[in-house]
Amino acid sequence: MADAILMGVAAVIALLALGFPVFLAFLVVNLVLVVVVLGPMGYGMFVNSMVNTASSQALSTIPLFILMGELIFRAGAVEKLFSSIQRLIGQVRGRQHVITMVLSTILSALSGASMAVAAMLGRTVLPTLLAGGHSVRLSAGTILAGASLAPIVPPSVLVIILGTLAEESIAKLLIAGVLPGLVLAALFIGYIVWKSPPETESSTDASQSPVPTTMAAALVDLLPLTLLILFVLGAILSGIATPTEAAATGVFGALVVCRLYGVLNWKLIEDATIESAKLGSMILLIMITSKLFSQLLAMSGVAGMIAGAVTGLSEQPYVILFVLMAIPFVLCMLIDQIALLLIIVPIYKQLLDFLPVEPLVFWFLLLVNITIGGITPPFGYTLFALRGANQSVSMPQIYQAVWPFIGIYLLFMVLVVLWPGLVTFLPSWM
Amino acid sequence: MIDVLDQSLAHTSRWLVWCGGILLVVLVGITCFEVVARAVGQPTAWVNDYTAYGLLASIFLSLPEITRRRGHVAISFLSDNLPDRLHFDSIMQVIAAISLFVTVYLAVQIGIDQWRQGIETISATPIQKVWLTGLMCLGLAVSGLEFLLASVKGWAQRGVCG
Repeated sequence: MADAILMGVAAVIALLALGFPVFLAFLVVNLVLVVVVLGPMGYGMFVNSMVNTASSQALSTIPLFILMGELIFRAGAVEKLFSSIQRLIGQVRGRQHVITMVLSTILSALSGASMAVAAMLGRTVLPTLLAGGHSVRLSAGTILAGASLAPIVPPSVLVIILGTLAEESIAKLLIAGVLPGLVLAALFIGYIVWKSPPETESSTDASQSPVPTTMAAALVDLLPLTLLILFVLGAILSGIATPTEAAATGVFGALVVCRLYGVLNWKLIEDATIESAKLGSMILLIMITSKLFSQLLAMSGVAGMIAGAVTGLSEQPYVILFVLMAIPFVLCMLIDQIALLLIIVPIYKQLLDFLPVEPLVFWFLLLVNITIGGITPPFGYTLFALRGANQSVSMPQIYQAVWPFIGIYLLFMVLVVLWPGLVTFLPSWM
Repeated sequence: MIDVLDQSLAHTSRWLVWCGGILLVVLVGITCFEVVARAVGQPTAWVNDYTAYGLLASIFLSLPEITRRRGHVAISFLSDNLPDRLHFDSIMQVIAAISLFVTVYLAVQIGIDQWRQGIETISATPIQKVWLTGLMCLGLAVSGLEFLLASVKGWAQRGVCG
């Protein structure tokens, strides 16, 4: 059976590389494995695995958080946020890029998907930056790095998937992302300020020094979204609501925000709901079809074999941690993030005892690693989302733009290993 | 003939994704209801279970429309550069349709067993499991038809082009 599963892993990777939809790659391999290896006894296991995964209550958080984000973005939140932050941030080196990074961070707290944030900023903010004569590399890099905070800052689709697979508290994993998200944003802003010579700032930037009245108006504009973010995070952190309940009440809050912005109508609700149903289904279908594959991987002993091979490389926990992080870093350049999580999490679960950090920190490091995969050339999804949203930037320019920010992400991972409190501080209050 | 089938499937998929969307709204409603009910000291036993059932229905009812709109996640960098992309897509769509139909066939067999034996979900508010298996079959079957139709249209287009 182990040989068949190993061939299955190779087949999944080959089908993904050939351009098969991710869910289909898993479904085809599962069918072959069930028919060839398990026989008729496996049919019930195959069908029940799909039904049970699709009716997992924890996963309902995903479409609900997506719906919350859809409602907010369709309410014109990006434009409102951009305008408010413009009025709040004074003269600083790289002002427009700093504004973009602050905007990305807030958008990340409203959306769980980096591709969505990259596409939105690529359409709305990037043309403004380029028209203002700002560096293409710094502009594209800022947007990509900021968009990649979405899976880290709650709510996050990837966190819910990771928490479900790793059987780790989803609420703790979600809250664990708050502080690191802010630290990463601060590191990115530090880099932007460092890389932006004062002379690149246009005269219009300099004239936009905030005055108390405009700042107050900007804060009022920001208030509904800020309250919504605090409400969702606060509900999870305080334990008043589960992540699913926080997401559902967040949807209700998003409707209130739409009403306050004066854009609430049936068309907006209908479009947002159907789009969320499709997006949620698209993501969850991958989990549904791959669940059996993960189970077979664990049952066959292959996961244990691979885990044994990794621990056999060294007895040093930090070396093992490095190897475990290096594997997804490389694979994420080639394989879909969710598909990769589904393959490696069952293997990594068997290695938690050999690591120098606690499970929550390890899973968080894996999350950051997978997130980096989304912006790592040549195949990071988020890179293509930005390119798709703004054709005026070439792929080589995007590749060059993103490397310094990948370096910052890697530096941040080292910081987390040295100071795990960055991740565990907020969850320890729960 | 293909056009008629195409229009019928388009209507079916659109109608199903509508149902999926409505279910999502229902999930929001009942989950918010549960938060309020718990706040006033009267938590329900059924909300969590029905949220799970609703999620399954929403996922599989939305599936055909995703297939129609080619919205599935795929890494298409290699296939995008193939000299005969249309041909490759058609083959992939046939494989997809076959896989989905085989899955439906197996699920129908299991569903019949569930119905005969009266198997229920393991939860506080159980329902007949065949309902869930049936909804899954519906979504997968219509999605399989969408893949098949896309493939036929691809072959037809290729025939015209060639």
